[in-house]
Amino acid sequence: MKFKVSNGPFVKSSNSTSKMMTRLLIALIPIICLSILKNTIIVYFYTDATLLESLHPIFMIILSIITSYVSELLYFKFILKYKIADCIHELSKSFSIIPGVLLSLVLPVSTPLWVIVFGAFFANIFGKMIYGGFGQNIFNPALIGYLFISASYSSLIGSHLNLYELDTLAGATPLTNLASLNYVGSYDEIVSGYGSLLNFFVGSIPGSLGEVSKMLIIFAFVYLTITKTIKYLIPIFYVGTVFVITYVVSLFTDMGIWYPIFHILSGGLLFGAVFMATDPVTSPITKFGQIFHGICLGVLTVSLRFFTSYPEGVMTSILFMNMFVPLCDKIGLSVKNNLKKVWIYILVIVIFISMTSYFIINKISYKEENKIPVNILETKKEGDKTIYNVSSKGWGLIKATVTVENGEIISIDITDKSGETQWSELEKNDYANKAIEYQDNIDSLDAVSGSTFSSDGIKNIIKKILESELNNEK
Amino acid sequence: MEMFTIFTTALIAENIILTKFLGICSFIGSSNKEKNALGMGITVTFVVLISTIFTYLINKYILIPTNSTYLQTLFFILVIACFVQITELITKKYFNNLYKSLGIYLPLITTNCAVFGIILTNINMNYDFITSIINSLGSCIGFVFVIYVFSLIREKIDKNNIINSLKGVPIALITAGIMALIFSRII
Amino acid sequence: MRKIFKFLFNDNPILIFTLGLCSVLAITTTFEKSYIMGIIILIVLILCNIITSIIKKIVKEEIRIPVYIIIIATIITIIQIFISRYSPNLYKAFGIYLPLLTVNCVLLGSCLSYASSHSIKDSFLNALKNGLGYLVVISIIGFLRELLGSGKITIMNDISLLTGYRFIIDVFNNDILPNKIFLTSGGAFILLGLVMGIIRKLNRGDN
Repeated sequence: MKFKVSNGPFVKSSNSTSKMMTRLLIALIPIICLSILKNTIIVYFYTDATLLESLHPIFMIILSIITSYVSELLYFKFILKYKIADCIHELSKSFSIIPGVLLSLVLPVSTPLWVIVFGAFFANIFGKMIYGGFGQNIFNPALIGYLFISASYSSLIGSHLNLYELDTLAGATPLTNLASLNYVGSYDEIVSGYGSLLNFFVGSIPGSLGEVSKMLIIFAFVYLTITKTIKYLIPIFYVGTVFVITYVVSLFTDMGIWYPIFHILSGGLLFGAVFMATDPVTSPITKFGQIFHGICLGVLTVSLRFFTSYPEGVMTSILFMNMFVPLCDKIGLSVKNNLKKVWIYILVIVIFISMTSYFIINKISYKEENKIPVNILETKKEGDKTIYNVSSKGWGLIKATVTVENGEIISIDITDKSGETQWSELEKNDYANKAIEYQDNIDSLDAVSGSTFSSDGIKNIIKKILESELNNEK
Repeated sequence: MEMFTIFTTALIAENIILTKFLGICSFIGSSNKEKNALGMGITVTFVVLISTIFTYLINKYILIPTNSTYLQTLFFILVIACFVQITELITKKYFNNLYKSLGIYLPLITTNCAVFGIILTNINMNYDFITSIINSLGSCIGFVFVIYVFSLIREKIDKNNIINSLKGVPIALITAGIMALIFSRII
Repeated sequence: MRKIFKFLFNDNPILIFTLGLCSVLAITTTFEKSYIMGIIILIVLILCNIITSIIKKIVKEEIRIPVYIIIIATIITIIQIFISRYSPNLYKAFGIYLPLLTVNCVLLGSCLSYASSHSIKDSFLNALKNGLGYLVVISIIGFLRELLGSGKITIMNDISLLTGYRFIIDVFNNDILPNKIFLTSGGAFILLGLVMGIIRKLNRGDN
């Protein structure tokens, strides 16, 4: 008797699969609505974009879905040579609307439409159909499309900011901004440019179509977990690992709890974790396999964010771990059969997490040593003048207000010098005003003897402000 | 720190199979079962590491001083062939169990592009001794890694219903292509 | 027409036996490199097969493999010296893949399996068939990859010092094509897999 061997899951009626897909779509609807509100309605009413331009995101989503269906139809008809009636029947079973929607939601808002067509075509054919159709793919089809687009047309897909955000914000997504600051900085440098962390939570920050509203994604996650639609262990451990590693990093670099929260709430992390990593076909089946999968995803994403030049690490890490799903299942099975083995894998996990944190902290501290120890706390513009509130490392911490006009520092007002024990020496020498005189050639000014640290503190303020002015000019 | 860069480059960015296309024959041929893949990977690592040492010494102390670097191809391939033959004889005689599980790969490795390719890379880039070893080690680990992961994927794909013209090697190549694209985005 | 197709693509060393893929994937970034590599392999294949067939009676069973490898290595070394002298651009472009031909499965495989047990004339014909098949396939892949990946077709550039002739055709250059994914390693794999699938389908359609 010949036994037919196939892959799990084995008990899968098309009834439950279609229910699962429907619930997934229901969970996506609020996200799509917010995305349309943010990228279409607000753009139309607050900038001078034409109606056609503002409707671009809606076209993106619709075109992606249509291309998915059409490509599958073409495959069924011309490669598998089914009759039309069979094609339609197969189409209704294959749920190609999901990769279509997900692909359009991870792309930036200004992607040209033909790029989406090519991407969706490639995603469905090479991500799903050639492996045998629905349920037999190795890689997440939407991410295969994303991989194709970013490998071929990366220069064309444009920025992540819609027209309204381009008018009002600095010009980079939060993660790109973080990368340009070498991953470390104050709350103001990293977060305040986009509002407060609440903005990140609700979704009024720039990003791709689907990823911005973390609040809606969390609601979707709760809904999908309650209705037992997705494998909830994966997102929990994925996001949890990212939180743990960035928390350890923040402990060693004197940043607050806002840093790990920022990392969780920025980029495609929550979206990828809830909708992409939990794709039923391309994720592990066993419980411990899912936990291991999620943790490895977290380690990989954090490594990609900090060590490579790509600011976003989520999509690549999900694709990479797709390759390891059989291995994760093997691990899960071996743990199921022999519970003691779980300690080996826990040890491996702990080693991964500690090594990653160690290397990140090493990398950041190495860069930190070359930074000027001055933090710009606040910047205000008043007509021609810019007023900076800074804190500089002297003997203790010096706080000052600096006024700049036309790129030149015109006054320094020391607001807090309580940590400087030798301040009287600097007052005698009128050091602050001398520093302003020497601002173009600050290094040639000698420090006041007996109070070197405080003098350096003042000098560094000049250096930092001028550097900041230079950066703003660019 | 530079060593670490060379190591990780040899492992991921210049991966021996996915970027440099060496060892494809064994990649396609022996990656359809997980055990085969692991056996092939370990044997290749062993052969490469020792051959690196020998070819480096030969190159430095015999070929360069006598200005006969054009004989590199000949000499290196002889070194590899001899070494593989000796290893086969030794394992057959003293480690019979090991020979039974790994021995069939040894003759195949003589003609494996990966071994020869890694050695040629070391020579072309003029690495010194330690760097050659690190480069070889990184390349080998990359080789084992990719071949192992790929064998797992292939075992899974074999149970799917793929169209006849793509079954077997073509679908493996397309999957390898997607893997190569993913790897190129990691570093 | 069908006969030529059958001659080239039936039992084709690349597409059916998947031998010698290392060179096919690595070299085919331009059309020129591909067809020159194909020609080199054709020449080496014919020479090796003839020599092997001549000495097949003299060589003992155990030392067959090392002897054949030495023969192939010698011929490749001669060609290497030749190319490095007359066309250093091409030598640099080939990189490590020229000496790597020594361990190319096509060469060693045909020597071992065919030439060592057939007459000189049969070995020559077999080498011709395999070599031409290899040449055609590697040229097709190189043509496609360069056309789709960089929008040009280079017929003669690196060896222009030798022939005094430079011939590059610019085909298209817009946003959709050229698509640089074909120049990457991933694109090479995918393209080769697709071509293999198509040819296998056509073969099956014939039989």
